[in-house]
Amino acid sequence: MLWLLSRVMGKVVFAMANMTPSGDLLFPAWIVVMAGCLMVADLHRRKELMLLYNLGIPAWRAAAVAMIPGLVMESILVMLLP
Amino acid sequence: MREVLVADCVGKRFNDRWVLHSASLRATRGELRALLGRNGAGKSTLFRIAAGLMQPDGGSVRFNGAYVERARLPRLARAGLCVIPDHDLLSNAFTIREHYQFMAPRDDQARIEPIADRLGISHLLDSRPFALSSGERRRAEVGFALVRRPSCLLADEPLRNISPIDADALLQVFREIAHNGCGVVITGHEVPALMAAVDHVTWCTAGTTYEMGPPFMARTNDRFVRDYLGPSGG
Repeated sequence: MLWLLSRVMGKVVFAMANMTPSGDLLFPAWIVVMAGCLMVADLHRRKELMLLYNLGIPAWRAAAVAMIPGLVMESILVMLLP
Repeated sequence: MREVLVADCVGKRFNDRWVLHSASLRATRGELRALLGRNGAGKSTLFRIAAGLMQPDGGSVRFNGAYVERARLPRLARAGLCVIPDHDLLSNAFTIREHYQFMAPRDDQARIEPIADRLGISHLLDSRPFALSSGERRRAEVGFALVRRPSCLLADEPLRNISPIDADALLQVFREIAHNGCGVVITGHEVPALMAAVDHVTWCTAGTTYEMGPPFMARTNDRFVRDYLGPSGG
């Protein structure tokens, strides 16, 4: 199921990247958003959401923090790669 | 004002079925309260709504006297609420000490050792939760709340799967937390232990709640005895 989901998502992203004028940025943006989504999924899997909530931290903030390294790395790649 | 958390006249439906209609839960400063009810009575739903883990379809939630629109636990936690859920609260990625260090204010880290001593888990501070027994884990979770110094503590079935002696010790700690000015509400089915320890009983039945008062008053209510405590009287 996960394999199928990844495959379909990959296909959709590549298809959209080919269709849109600013398609080069779509793949990096997708990677950054996925980092945030995977962070929330991992918090659910590890049952750490209640701990986070008790610390006063909503899940979206954890997702936003998880996006920062991806955002930095993808920005560097976009600037460096032709 | 003594009431710190009030989930008032709460209604909740799943599909077309109303699980709660006009149910209320109150946490009062200085009081240890028990929310009792049979399985399926709507107790957990009410608890989750009061804790900001679920949105009600009717009614309101007040915290420290202020209405909270779309109450969410992170926001309520910043205002002083602490919730101990019925499943494990602590992460296996960190030691108990690290959890307490996250929770304690920077200038108040010295409280960690005395709290661990009080709960009998000082020798476990550098262990991770998976290495602890269920009773030890429960005590560590209560310690987490103690370090936090909440104005309101909600604990869902804190006595589940722990020995009677550990349960008594935990209830004593809950009483101390309450008597230090916190509003504490606990749920559970360990009726003799709960009725001996709490100051007030709220009974959840058929999707609504009844304020039964102190345990000795609750025991004089025929319907509560017949429909919840049973022939043995709990």
